[in-house]
Amino acid sequence: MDLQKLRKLNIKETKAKLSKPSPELILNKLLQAYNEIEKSLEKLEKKGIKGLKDLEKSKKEYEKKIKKIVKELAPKTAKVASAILTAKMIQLAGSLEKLAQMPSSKIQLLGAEKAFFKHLKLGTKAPKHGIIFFHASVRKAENKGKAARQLANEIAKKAKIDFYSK
Amino acid sequence: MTSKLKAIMDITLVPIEKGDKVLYLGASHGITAELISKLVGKKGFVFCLDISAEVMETLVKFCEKHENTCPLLFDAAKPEEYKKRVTKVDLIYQDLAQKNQLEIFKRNAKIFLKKDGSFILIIKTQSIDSIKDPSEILRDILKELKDFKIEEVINLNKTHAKHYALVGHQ
Repeated sequence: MDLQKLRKLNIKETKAKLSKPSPELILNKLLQAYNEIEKSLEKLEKKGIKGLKDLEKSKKEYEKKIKKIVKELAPKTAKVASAILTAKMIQLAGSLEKLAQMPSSKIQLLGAEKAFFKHLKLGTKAPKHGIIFFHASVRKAENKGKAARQLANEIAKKAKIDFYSK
Repeated sequence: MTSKLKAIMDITLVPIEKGDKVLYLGASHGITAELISKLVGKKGFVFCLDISAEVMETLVKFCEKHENTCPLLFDAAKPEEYKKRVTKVDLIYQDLAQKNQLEIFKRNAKIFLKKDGSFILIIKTQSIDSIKDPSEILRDILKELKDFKIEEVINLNKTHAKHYALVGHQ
């Protein structure tokens, strides 16, 4: 095939693919904005400023959009862990496919990579939870390691069901 | 972020000539692809492949500007999928952050690299095993590449930590 024809074909094809983004891509962009708002709200709370209506409104709007996408993408995991936590886990894992193929011990430590590799290289204590810490059942538990492990096991099961039932 | 190809060219000669066709696996935003497109000239061609759609947006714009390039949104580990979109090439330039980078290179070289074609393979040791010593990983890789003739092994530690570059031909 002529090179210039190939070139035009390839440009057309990639543009067509880009115009239909996968739900995980959209989630990435929404989560970027959501995480920034969360960070700025935390910083302001530390300084003592509360009750900023504009920021909290936009946070809720992003929450709604994220929940919509996650409930379509992975409905059962969204019931076990909250919708936003599953969105963050999918982002950290890379995609729903990777989350479904991970062992539950890895899901337990998503977000704690720095502490984990320190433990492997230098022999410090092993981390018990990563981003899964921010789930209510783990934060309130007396034995956080146990709660994190059990929740990670549940998430691993449901993620597999969600991915492979499509 | 500097281009790894620039770092290599500061050290040795690189087997890219005018009129060459190049398959670039892991093109990303197109900084190194621009360099290659200048080196191969009007009669050469560069196939820029990348798996990520976020990066492909900038890459498509780059390819529309430069007439001797074209974008490909595919997974380099599945060359059967883009077999019909790429011709046989004189050079494969690979810069991937995957655990199975070597397998990917061998698969693509089998299908796309000409008999006397050359390659520039950048080894990102952190993606293969982030805990092992990088020189150990390099030794293992050199053992598996016995079918290829490697001319240079370059240590890119000054600009890109834990990266090695292999230059050679089939």
